[in-house]
Amino acid sequence: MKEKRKDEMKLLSGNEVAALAAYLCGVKYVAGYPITPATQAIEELSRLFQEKGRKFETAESEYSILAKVIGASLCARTFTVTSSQGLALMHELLHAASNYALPIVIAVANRSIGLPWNIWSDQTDSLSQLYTGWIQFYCENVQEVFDTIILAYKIAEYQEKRIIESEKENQNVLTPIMVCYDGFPVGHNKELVLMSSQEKIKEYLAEELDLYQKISFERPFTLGSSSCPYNFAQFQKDRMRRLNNALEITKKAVWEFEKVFGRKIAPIIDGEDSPKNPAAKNICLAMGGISGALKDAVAQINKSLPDASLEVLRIKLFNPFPEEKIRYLLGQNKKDRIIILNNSPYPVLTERIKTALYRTTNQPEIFSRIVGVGGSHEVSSDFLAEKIKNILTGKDDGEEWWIDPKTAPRLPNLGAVKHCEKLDDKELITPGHRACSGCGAILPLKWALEVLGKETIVVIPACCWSVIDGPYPASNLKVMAIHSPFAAGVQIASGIKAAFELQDKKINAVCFGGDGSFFDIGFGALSSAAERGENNIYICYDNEGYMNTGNQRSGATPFGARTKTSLPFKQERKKNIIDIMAAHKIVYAAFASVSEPKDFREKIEKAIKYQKEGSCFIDILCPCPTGWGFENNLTIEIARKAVRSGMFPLYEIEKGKYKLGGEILRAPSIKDLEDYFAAQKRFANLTDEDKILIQKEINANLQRLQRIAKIL
Amino acid sequence: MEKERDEPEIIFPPVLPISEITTRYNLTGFWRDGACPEFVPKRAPCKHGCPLNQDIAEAIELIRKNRIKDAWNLWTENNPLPAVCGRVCRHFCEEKCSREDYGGAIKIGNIERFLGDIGLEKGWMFDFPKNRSSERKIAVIGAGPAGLAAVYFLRKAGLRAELLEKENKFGGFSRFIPEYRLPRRVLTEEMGRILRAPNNQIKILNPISLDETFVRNVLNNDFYAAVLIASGAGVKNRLNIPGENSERIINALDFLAGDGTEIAPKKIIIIGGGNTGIDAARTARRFYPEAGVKIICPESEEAMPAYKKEISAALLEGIEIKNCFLPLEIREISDGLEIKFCEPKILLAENGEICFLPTDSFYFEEADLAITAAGTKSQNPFLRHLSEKQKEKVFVIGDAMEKFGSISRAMASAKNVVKEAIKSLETGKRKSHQEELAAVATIKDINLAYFEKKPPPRNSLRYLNSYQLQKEIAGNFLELIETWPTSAVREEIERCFSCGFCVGCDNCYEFCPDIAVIKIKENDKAIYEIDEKYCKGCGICVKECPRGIIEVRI
Repeated sequence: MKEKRKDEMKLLSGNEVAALAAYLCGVKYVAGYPITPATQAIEELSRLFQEKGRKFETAESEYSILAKVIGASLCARTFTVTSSQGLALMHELLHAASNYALPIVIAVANRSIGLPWNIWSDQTDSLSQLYTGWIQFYCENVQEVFDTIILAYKIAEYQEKRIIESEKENQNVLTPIMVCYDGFPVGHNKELVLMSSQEKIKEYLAEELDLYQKISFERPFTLGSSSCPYNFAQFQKDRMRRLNNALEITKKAVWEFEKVFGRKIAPIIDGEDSPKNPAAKNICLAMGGISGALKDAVAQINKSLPDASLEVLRIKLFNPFPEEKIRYLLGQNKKDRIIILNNSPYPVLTERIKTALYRTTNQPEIFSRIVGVGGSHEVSSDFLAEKIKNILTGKDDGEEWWIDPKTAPRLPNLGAVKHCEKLDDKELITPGHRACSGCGAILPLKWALEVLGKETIVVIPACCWSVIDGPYPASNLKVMAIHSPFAAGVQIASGIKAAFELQDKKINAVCFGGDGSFFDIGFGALSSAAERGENNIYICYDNEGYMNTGNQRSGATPFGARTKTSLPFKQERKKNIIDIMAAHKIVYAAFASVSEPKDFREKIEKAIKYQKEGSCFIDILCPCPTGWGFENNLTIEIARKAVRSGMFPLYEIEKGKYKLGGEILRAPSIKDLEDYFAAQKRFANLTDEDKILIQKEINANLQRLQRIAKIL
Repeated sequence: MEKERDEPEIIFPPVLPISEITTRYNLTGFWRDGACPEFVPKRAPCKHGCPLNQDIAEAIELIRKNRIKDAWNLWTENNPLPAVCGRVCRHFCEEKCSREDYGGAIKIGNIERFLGDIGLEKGWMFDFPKNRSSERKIAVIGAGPAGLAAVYFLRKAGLRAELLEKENKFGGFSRFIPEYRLPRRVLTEEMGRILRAPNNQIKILNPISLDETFVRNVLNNDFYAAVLIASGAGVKNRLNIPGENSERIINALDFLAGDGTEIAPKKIIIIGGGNTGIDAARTARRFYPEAGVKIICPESEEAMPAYKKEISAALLEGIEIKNCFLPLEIREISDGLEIKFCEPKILLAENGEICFLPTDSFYFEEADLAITAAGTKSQNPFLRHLSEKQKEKVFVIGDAMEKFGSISRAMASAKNVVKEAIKSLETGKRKSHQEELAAVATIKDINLAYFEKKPPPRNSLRYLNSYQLQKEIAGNFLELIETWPTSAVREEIERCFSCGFCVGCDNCYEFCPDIAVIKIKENDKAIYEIDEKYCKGCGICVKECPRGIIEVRI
């Protein structure tokens, strides 16, 4: 009891706790890519892992994040956090991780998978990765996230120390684990969490694992050379065995957890060892955050209907599925009804339970319901109580529940006009959009559409505009637009254009996205489209970072800028995307700035002209008041200062010929640069030496451009 | 605003995530913390500086649009004599120009002269409305700039005017301005235009004698509804020092009027640092190129009442100026004069006038001709002490009221008194005329990022350098600087900030991220409105308006 008092209570959110747990578990290497609702965890990781002996890295996509983690996990304890689309992008590597028996732990802030975009929670993302061979835990609250991550390392790294004589004795787990929790609300709401000390956790976890103990240059080996069917099947068989071993090892790990930390942790199935109503005839089953509402609903029913005989079970370890335990729990006494809540469009939990109950003698009636899709936090206990009561009293209509109808948004009646009713308006963007006050990202599309006209299809990859445009059933765009996954915008535009051309229709297909979509995650697609000369226009509104998720670094973030994942400031240089595009022999590429609308319009006109010959790319600087840290009214001024200080020289490349904007010919002074830096908080950490260094680089770049412009 | 509907049309159940309605229902104006920005046009500092309240920025904008006739029309609304004023006005407007510290003030004088000259060249005429026939006539006494302006403004207001002048020439005091500053042709044509304008219905009557009896007669009979007296300041001030009556001493105005002397002087001294003094000096320079010309005045260099440009022209022409010497006594010596000066003690009198008191530190100058230029005063001092009853019908304007020393101020007094007179005739009560004026734009309102720090175009001088000039001005009364060609005017107006005046640059419309600035085209002029239903209050329009017209009022 004395030791328990040592552990302190802290008010933390699920995201913060996930990062902190990884830190306390002695994780050495973390990598992270921002995605709502897991971003806060990434930012925490970036902050915590500044320490010596640990490392935090970013990458251009979630795919690369997991790749980095896989590489690092060969000789270090690793961790990352992701969600939804990010997890889906990792899919191929999830297989690799489990096949290579890497004990990686990742936290997944559950979120629905689009499109259309939805940032709220359901379990579609992790459930769709069921067959990648990962162990999956589903947590209900913040405390459980903290505890389960500690538990997860214990399980994932479990390795038999003794010599194994037969295959059956092999208790190794060596399987990666996802610790899932609802991004909203668990990931964001703060709760009081009982912390454990680093020493305690060290005592609990195994010594850091040198997984392939054989990694040594004295005895080189190759991991994963191609194999024949026989061997491959053997590997897979072993993988499945290791996965299933997790059931037994989890039991052991929970036992030991309670022994070491002196507190309870939910076992494989929450409620299995301490039933509130052991003789219950009716069982409700659920996973994750929605169980909270379910528990409240059941308590409510048990109070109002004394003979309800209800009990709640929450599945915590979902993969491998605790079939035997389910058979045991549902086979005890004679159950009448089993009510299963699936927090995804697919009744995955039901399928697993039905499989478990196959051929048992007692076959209770199963009520499988889909609930809380695209927002489990919107499901109230009142709603669940009413529905469950209907089942208990025989009034159930057999329909799925999906979501609490009371939460349907109400649109004000004002101006509910269809775009097609007002087609002759000159402006192709309507007011009422959801951009922040002073946002620079509205302007480029507003101006571009004026030039491009109505017969334009805009493809918008994940970016600020994913939020700005909408919500359903409204859109602020008067032209056709398609929202696309992060890396896909460029190629969706190509597909559209090609299909229209097959019908002899001339349209403009424009991919309009942030710097993430072009510099980072979608760069491969952009590069290949440019190389093939696909006849489209790509416009990047460059706010020099991931501003939609709250200011994290990207390939477009300049040297010296502080972001939440580049502390104290970014040490690397900004990608020169236009020169990169020029190296593709792209027909037209240009830098533009929101401070120069006339210049930008001319560049769009050129792009329209040149797109017949190939790809056209324009990178337009759009300062972000919230991310860069300046007053909302300075957006244009900051952009102008960026151009005049030489930080963002405007030049264009027409068919390989460099054309410099007038401002480039004027040598900028250090005063211009200091002016630019002083206007924003993100450069606050720069020293005078850094500024002089930047000034030198600017001058060198301008001289280089002037030389190139002469030669080419 | 979009029309309202009872229920939004939403496809339900949603089969596809198609968004077809506009986001206009989302009134993002509620996000705003403070007030919505609004358009608050301001008065340009040049207009503020101009006694005539000239719409300079507006006229410049018309020239930018190549509507020069319209610009001329607008200009002559406030000033019927642009060619004259463009040459001889002090241009208070330029002194107030926001460009002063950013490349130099806009040369409004040159633009005005350009407008005036083009008006003369093309023979543009004023358009007076018909008389409001039932009304009685208003008499204007004196055909100097103030009197002519008064007639002009009266006729513009549709009133019947009668001009009375004792001489058979018009122009008053402006006739003394030498040709190289104001060519007689320009003066005659421009002033004559007021009298030549079709439908001008101005009568010029025989000379009258202007005294208290006259005023009494005017009041007693109903022949004139009102009398505007613009009799000027025709009495020459004397130096009031011993020896002033010598034959070798001549008053500057007499000298300028051509009443020369028999003496062929070698050394000329002008006493007085006003414009008349400088005019006399420069004229002497032209008449007697061999003679040394020296101006001596009690004021310091900064305090000299003459225009700065006149002083610098005098210096350029090789005239010497000696400051801070007060004449005490003049003595005739053999074939010449000896003048005794002292360094005066400067005293600020209670009424604000500067007094120069003699001291004991003397200085002597020799000369064979001295020209005195000690200013003039009104010949009708009784006009300053009219009774309240008289003031209801008799209005005094121009130098007769107060020594203005500036053509624009004299004309401005005419303009204001005409407005006052009209009002007092309508209401029967005299009340000084005051307009409600917008705030004056300052340099702080200007977003300098939109303007280059560029100097004005150079004047095209008639002479290459000071040496050539001094050589060639002998007997030569040509203007030193030519009227600007259109190209120079174009270059100069591009520099104008158009302070506080919306030129329809579209910046607010262009840069509004919330699509909350509505642009309405009205007769090829853009008018903007801010839609407070959607304005999130970022303030970009306020910041990016080059002219500071948009404001958030707290």
